[in-house]
Amino acid sequence: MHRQQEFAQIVLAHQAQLRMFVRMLGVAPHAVDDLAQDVFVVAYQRWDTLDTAENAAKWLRGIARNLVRNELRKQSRRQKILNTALTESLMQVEDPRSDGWQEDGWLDALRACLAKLPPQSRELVAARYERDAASGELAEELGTTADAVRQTLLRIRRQLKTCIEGQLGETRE
Amino acid sequence: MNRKAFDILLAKMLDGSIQEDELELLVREAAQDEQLQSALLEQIRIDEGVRLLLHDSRGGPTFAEGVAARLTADADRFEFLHRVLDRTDERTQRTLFRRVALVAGLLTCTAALLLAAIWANGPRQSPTQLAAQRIVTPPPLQVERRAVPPLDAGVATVKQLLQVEWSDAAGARVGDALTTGRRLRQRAGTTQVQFYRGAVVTLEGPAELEVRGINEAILHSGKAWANVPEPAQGFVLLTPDIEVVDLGTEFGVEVVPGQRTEVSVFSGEVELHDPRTGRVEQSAISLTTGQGLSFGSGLPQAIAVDRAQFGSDEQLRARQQRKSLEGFERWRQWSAAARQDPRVLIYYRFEPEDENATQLANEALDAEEAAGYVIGGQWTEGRWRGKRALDFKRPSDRIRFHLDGEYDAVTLAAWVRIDGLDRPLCSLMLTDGYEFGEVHWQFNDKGQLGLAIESTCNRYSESLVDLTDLGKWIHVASSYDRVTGEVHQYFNGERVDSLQVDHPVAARFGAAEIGNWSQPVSQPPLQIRNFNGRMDEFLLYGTALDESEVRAMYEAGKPH
Repeated sequence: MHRQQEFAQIVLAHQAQLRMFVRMLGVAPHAVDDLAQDVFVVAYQRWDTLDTAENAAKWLRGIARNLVRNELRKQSRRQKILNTALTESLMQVEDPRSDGWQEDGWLDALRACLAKLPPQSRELVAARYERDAASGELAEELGTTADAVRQTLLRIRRQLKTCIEGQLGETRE
Repeated sequence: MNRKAFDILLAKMLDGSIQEDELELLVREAAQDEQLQSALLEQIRIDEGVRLLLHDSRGGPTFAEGVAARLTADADRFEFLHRVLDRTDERTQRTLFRRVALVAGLLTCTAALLLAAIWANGPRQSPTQLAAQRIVTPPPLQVERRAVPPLDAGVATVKQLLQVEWSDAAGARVGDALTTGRRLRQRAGTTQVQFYRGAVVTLEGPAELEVRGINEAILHSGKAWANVPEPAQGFVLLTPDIEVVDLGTEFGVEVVPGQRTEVSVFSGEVELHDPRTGRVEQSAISLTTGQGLSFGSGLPQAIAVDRAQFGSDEQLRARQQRKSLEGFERWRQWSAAARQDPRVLIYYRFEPEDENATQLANEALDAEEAAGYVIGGQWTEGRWRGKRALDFKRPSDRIRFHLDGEYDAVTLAAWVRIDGLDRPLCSLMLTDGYEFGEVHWQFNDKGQLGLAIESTCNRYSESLVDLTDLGKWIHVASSYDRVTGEVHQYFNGERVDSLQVDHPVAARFGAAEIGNWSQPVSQPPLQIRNFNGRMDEFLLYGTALDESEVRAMYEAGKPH
């Protein structure tokens, strides 16, 4: 019983960061959850190879890298990754980059920052991410161009990044 | 490459609209410049973070359930294999049992932990678990909440109308949902109302009926007959003098206010109650097939039952058929004239000679081009028996056409039956993509009719269709005139929306689709906007029709 309980805890505790990690290896947005679930299935089968729970995050990332490497080899299943060269270069990025996203508070900080966005930005973010609307479609609804919508979203994401850094800095002090 | 050009590509990548060669370029640039690469990673990271927080389907527990489901599927495969390979090996059986028990245990635990994560707020949860928990509860950031679906207040529906003259302006249309308290007052004609439990009440001549519930009505005056099938047993028809409780039958009632109420049972049995004492069994009078009673000032009097005094379903059907044929014929004449109208650019009558053929003829006078190509869809019945229509249901269903040229004025008109407004936007006719001057004609999920001409206008009417209108044939038209700058929209022959645009441009079509939306070749796929419903007539005029012409089109083509 002990093992399953531990495993379920690991899934809940690490799913968010693992999914972010998988996406940051250049996996296509629609395939992220699929691949991350594969990671946990493999993790369950190879449970014995995990030494202590403290190392779980690193261990899971290792499995994720292996699975993504497998994806690179599959000619026909390329659609899970966006672009081979992109994934190859992202795989080389050193593992724990020290910008805080692997910390527990990161998603909470992001949430707080989303709430702080001015109303117009919030509406746009909601339409893009909740409703999954494409930029062309939003442009039509807002009476602007798709490029303008995309650039606005880019800027909003940049603002969020700065805001998160501020948030995490505050809690550290 | 400068930063600005890089940002444009990066934004396209995150939006899923980047082309293969652009992506190659982006990746090459990022590989050479550490700053660009960290900008790329930062954008991907925030994008994924926001997706995790905001997208409904991506809560932590949902994800964990997915993991559990995969492990179960794994165990099933395992179990199946061993059953096939070795039924007798006890050791295998034991291992199998342990394995299955393990996974079953995992599932139980996962479920329990998920519940704990959702409901409890225990001190032992790590901040990540708390984050997972909060993903489930609605995030604070919800600007565009969809309206709550309207409650169904209807208790009955108008089934048929034949030559009805209403006594008041309210009137009613076939397919209307009637709510409790709704009164139908007619001077002449035949109205058939079907209650949600199944009882059908037919009013004939001058009469007033008040709907009281899914199985109850008041006949205030006039003549009516009721057919009550088994599921509607217990249907109650109140009159000023007597309360009729039906036990599964057919009966007729005539109310002359202030004088008398007559009840005749054609078949089956009804119970009559005094409305003042209520429905108590002791005072109930039972009437069976062939019996009739008249209630007035004195004692109830037996009357002879004469079925012929009331209408019948057969008669109604025959009259309805005649009327339908007349309507169909009226439309045919209008349609023949429309085929001679030189202003018509495209006319799809949806009357194919061969329903297996993919081509739908353009029957406009000078129709050298713009034949429609039917992709998917099901041929079915249109406004009248014998009239054909195309049913659009699947996201693949569509009619494609191509129309060259630029137009200073256009009118789009169609008869459609909307079966659902399932998407944020539902196509009537959309040009591929959406470039300068191109025309988009569609409903949104609020039932508003929209005409958009890229860079000139994007206009939605008030809401015209709600849930209770689904399944009814409706006429929609929108017109645009570059010279005057006027945009008008019409619903069932009436002008419902007008607008004056500031910078009118010529309208263009090119490659376009009815009932769907496509992107020009080599562009990434689009949000689905497929139409859910039927269409049995589509016209595109190279002129802006005026209100009287649109009304005439509606009058000639209305199904009832």
